[in-house]
Amino acid sequence: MCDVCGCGDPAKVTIDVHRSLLEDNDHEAAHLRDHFARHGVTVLNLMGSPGSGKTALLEATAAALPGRRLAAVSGDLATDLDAERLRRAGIVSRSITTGSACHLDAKMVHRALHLPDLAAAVDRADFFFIENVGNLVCPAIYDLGQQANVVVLSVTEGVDKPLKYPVMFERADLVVLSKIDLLPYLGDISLSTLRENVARIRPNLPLIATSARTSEGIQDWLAWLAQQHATSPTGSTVPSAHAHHTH
Amino acid sequence: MHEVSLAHSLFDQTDRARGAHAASTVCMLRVRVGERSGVEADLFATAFDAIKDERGYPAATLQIVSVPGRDLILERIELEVPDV
Repeated sequence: MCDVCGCGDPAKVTIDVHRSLLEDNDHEAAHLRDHFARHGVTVLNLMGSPGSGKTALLEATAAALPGRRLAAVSGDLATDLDAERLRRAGIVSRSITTGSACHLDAKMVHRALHLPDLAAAVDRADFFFIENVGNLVCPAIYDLGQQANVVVLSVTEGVDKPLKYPVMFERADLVVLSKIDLLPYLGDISLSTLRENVARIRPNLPLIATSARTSEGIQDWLAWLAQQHATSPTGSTVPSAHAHHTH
Repeated sequence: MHEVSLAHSLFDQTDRARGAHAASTVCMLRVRVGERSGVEADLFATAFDAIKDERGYPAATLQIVSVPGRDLILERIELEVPDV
């Protein structure tokens, strides 16, 4: 009892919540996934360090697939440079400028899909690539409504990266090893050690070794893409909830 | 640092979950953080302290329970309800 005004001691009340901190993001991602499925778009989330070659991989993809309809968003803290490169390569592309944020979340992708030119292109696209902010840590935990996660890892980053950034590799569906044309200049980088380190984090995680510059391995990447497209979910799991919501 | 975004998500969850107790003082939030969740407990605690005033929870403390797996769960809110 308070001896100033006579009020009682505060009572403790507990509320059991048990809800994920990612609940809002996951809800938004589910909405996006449903939208992509309804339009038959195969959506891939490309993650990797700054400079790992995510944009170069997409440029090589566009060059090798002239008949395919490709769309992309590029997440960057600043500038439109990656999206510009992709547009020059023939991919309908816009930037998501994140300011200080180190990752994309589902809400940012959704907002980008309301940009008129991108919205129409994504709905007609065979593939929609979400090029995440260059970072091997933060992007891994956010579901963006993608069908698969692709981690682009360049040989110049060293063989230890899967061990040092396990969460990223645990959540990958494919590792694209990039810049293998540089291997002759990197005496201490062993492809077999790199494969072993990937397998230590996630056994049986597929790895495709590529060079965007020489096109080595690009056909294997295209075959993987075709397989993803063939197994894309189609139709809607939420028949009418967002039927009015067209992009 | 995605821990800042997640700290905001934590307070968003708290805003909703406290419901009828909106006028009470939140004194503790207990969060289960999985070892494979991609979240560093220390950084999350720093982010929590950095934004708790602006989010209207100056008296709140954070209790992190480390668990295996990928959980990132707001388990419990503890409030003080004035007994007047």
